[in-house]
Amino acid sequence: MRISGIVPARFLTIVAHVIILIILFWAKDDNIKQCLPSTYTQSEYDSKDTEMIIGLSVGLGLMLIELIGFIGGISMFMPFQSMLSVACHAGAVIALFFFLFEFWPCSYYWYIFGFCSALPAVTEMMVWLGVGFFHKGL
Amino acid sequence: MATTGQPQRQNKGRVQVVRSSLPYQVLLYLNGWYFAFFFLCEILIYVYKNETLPYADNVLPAEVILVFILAGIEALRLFFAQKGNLTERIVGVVISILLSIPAVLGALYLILWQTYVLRVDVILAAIQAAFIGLELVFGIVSMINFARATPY
Repeated sequence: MRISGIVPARFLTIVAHVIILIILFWAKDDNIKQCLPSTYTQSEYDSKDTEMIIGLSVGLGLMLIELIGFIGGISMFMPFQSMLSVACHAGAVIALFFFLFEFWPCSYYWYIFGFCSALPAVTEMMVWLGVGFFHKGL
Repeated sequence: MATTGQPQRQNKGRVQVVRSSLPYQVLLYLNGWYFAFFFLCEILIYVYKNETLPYADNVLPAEVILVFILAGIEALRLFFAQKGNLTERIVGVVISILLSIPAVLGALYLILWQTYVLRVDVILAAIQAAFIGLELVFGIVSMINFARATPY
């Protein structure tokens, strides 16, 4: 099979998404303060902090799932999954740049997470199921 | 996934054995693209550093030149590794393993010893170093595979 440009494009968008998620781990402080009232207690801050840590870790875990499926060759040459993945991760990178530099409130992260991390990971796992149980591979 | 050491096809008494490693080849292919991305990011980061941070004389040009030299080394390393893996010769793989020493040192320079280390620098160079480490492992394994006596 001819290798088209979609394989490196998908890899690079996933890697860019991973990089920006790791940066957010270090720099999430301002985003947390944005979604708290002007006077807040330490416990309120801590609960929001935990929420962000959980969200970012689950996001990184979903990236890992997609990288395994991709580099392992399960969905590397599937056009629909690759296209969806490229679109979602490119969108996520742009949205997370705004999230980081414009100090968006931390609740916005969950929309980015849902549409740009969870969606391609769910379809990736459906591809795994299709390949594993229904022999739908290429 | 690995096709090393398994007879693939048998025709008229000749057994064809593919000893090139598929995971190694996938890693090398993806590393080429990743390094292009990494190089672009590093150059843009140096533009940013030049605009915002004070530098001593002649430090910034030296660091930029180092990134260019690293790109040259990386291109040679990936080229020889791919040629060595696909033609099942030891020489190419050995050259790429030797070239991975300066490549790792370059990545370490970007993580530890450059004038200003940004978080992005650390993450980008750490991913590059992880690639080099994985390729070192696969390179040694496939070198051992190629060094065995040719099966007939």
